[in-house]
Amino acid sequence: MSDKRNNRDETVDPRVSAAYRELADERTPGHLDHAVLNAARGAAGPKWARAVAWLRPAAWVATIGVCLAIVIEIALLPEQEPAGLTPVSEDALPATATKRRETAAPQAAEPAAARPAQKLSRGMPEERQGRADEAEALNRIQDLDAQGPVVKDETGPLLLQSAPAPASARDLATERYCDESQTADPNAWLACILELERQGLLDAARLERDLLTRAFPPPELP
Amino acid sequence: MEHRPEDSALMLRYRDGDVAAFETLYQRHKDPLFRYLLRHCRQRAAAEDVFQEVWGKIIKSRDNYRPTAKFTTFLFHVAHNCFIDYIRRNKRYGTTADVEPDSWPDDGDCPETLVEKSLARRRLNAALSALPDEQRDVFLLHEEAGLSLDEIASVTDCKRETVKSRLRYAVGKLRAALDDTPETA
Repeated sequence: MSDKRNNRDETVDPRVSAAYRELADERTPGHLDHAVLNAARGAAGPKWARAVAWLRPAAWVATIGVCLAIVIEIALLPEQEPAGLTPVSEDALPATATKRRETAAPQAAEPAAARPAQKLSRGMPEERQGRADEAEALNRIQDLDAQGPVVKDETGPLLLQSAPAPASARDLATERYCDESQTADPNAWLACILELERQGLLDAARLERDLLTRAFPPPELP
Repeated sequence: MEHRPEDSALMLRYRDGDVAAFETLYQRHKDPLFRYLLRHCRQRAAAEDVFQEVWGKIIKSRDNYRPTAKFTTFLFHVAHNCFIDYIRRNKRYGTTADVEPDSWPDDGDCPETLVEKSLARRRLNAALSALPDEQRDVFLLHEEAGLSLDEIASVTDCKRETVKSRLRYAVGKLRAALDDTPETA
């Protein structure tokens, strides 16, 4: 017990402690307070201030990501069909093609109408290849229209219904196979038609026969 | 009765961004820490540098702070290590001292009291300076930080008995200096 008290007396001396506390009255300089507190404020800061440090790089990453997404999306999108070449289904194509016959000649004169179709047919996915083929077929039809008023396509589903010739077909026809002296006489006209059929010009023969039918009613036909 | 939040709670609040909590914590501990370093470094400029270094480390460690021990123990452990680093960096440590007792601020006492205090400060300062670093360290941790023997042992990485012995010697020497009677360790 006495040893314990002695130890306590030796390690804790109130007089020494009091003397030290009375004399040790130094204070921290103001500039140190300022420096430390400023450092503490700068290090802590509001939570959003830490987030601000990440805002700029995050914005860059987001911008680049959005740009990449847009570029990829555009690359994957099917290319826009050229104006005047709207994709049509096989069922609807004949009617559409028939309509286009009326304006086929000026459009066929434009080479740009054929070029996009050829471009479309190259290096495309299968689902778009069909549409490109349709466009090419349509261009072929337009080319035929530009060559003459009679169009017959027997190669596949892109059959064009021959529009009934109007009453003034004779006047509208720009290229005739039978001259006026032959068309004046039904027998001569018919002979001309037979001659055309014999030569293998079936389209021309059909046109002339249509015109003959309109010009001379059937009872007069042999 | 005013509620006084724990140091550890203040540190945790500062970790979460509450700067006011750090200011409270700093106001509590700044003067004892400064005196601890001033007595050790003996040079005011060096003490100020180490002081800033200590608080800088406290600020940096806020995210990893865990209240496993008293904040005072944590603070003075950092200060103890910073002081050891300072000694290693400065080979000339201990050769000069610019902390003169007469340069300390007075309280506006009468001349006789000032003279007595000045003499007592000279004796105490001389006795403290004469202490071995380990004994002075233990005494200052006990007086300034208010740490127990176990806590001082934790700060200085020594055994409790070693700390107790060092403190006993330090107190004996200072008592002798105050009595103006020489004593040998």
